[in-house]
Amino acid sequence: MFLKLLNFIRGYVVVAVSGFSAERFINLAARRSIYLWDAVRDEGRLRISCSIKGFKLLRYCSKKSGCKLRIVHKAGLPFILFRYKKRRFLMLGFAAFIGLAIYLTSFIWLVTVDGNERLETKALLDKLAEMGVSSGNHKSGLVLRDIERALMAAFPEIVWVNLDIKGTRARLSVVEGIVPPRPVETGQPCDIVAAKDGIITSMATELGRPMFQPGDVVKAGDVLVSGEVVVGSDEYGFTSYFVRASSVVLARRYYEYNFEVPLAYVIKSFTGNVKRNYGIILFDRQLFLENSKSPYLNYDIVSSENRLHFGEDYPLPAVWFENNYREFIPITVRRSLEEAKIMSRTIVNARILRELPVDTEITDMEFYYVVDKDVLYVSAVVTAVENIGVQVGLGRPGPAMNNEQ
Amino acid sequence: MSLAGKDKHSSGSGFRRRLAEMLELPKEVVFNLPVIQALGNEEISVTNYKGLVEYNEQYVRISAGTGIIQLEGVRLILRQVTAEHITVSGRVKKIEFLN
Repeated sequence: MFLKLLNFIRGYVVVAVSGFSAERFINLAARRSIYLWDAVRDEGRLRISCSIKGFKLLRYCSKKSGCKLRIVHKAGLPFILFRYKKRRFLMLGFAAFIGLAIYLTSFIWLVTVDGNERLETKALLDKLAEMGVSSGNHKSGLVLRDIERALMAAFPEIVWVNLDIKGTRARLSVVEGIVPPRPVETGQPCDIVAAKDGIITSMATELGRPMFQPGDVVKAGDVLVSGEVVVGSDEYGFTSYFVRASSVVLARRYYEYNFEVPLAYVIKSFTGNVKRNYGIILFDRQLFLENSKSPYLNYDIVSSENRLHFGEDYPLPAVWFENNYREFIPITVRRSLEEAKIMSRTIVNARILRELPVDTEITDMEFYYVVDKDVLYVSAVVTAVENIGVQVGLGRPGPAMNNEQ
Repeated sequence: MSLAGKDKHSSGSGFRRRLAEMLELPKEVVFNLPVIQALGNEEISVTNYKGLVEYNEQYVRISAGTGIIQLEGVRLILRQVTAEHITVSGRVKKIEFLN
């Protein structure tokens, strides 16, 4: 097997020897250390294989032994290559193909991110692109370990990261940890400042000098509890020391939501007619194989994408996609006033959940409606009680305790 | 085959033979003997041969230090021929030493 492969690579010639003494011819060749193999007696003639190099020496042996030599068959790589030697452009094209393949596989064509749960994939991809890991970038010259370190620095949530470039694919694996809370700056004096407007309903002060009482109206930015505690006063002024104010200041606030609920709306009734359309995305350009126009007036597009691969590790910068245009008939449906009012409550509840802090207590909700022909105008006033105080450093240097002297 | 050493294909004089046996020298080197290796009946390899005397599908005659080695068989081919050894394959029936 191995010998056959070697012979194929080096090339060999099958010759027919005819004449009085083929044995003498073989002896002469062997004496001159010409390697011969697979000699077969074939109707008086001898067929024998020898290497290309050996064949040139065989001429002498044939003359001396009086045998005639005839080439029956040339086999092996050198002859195949020789045949293509004249086809210069074929060889050129072949070389160009290999060169191009090598050149194109030296780029990154696909960047994938896995393992992220809370971090956004796009944020990670953007950061990677900033450091040169993005589709279409050359992969040489990237120091992966440095990029990993930079990612760790940029995203404190990441506790472990691995960037691996295999073929034309860059794969980022991250493991997220729980971000440790920012260390509490104990000892540093601070005030409690209102973050929002409101009417104070209660103050539970642990440390510091309260500046307002329940019932007072405060504006965002007001100091609610001062970190400066006065301990005495004389003709020269106040004597005070600074503390880290700590207080829970609850305030009543009003939120107003204005929106409209349509009384008539459209639902889609799919007819079942689907038109398929195929295309390819090369780099960032969409190329449709057919007319990309929909034959329908009203339609939804459902598309699926499939990235082309050159083996597992060589994704290409091309995506095969399929668009399905699904025809539907729009049907107008009316909802009753009652339904619209229920819906407005649902909308308000959803917005409260999404927009207000988690520990907010909703004490009251009032709805005002104006009915138009096709629309229900809603104005909702939500009364909420929430903690409006935030700790803000005093912004002036000073010892944690006191300046009595 | 003569054991006395007068024949030209003999394995050397008595003194050389005794010396080679005493020193445990490889006999094929000292007496220029062929080494014949048989792989079952399908491949016979002769090392340290002198020359090919006759070759056809039935008979292969190889001259060596002891005389002529005659192989008889069916569809014999010369698998390898080099200056040192010759390999015959096919279905071998007989190995004979002719003097």
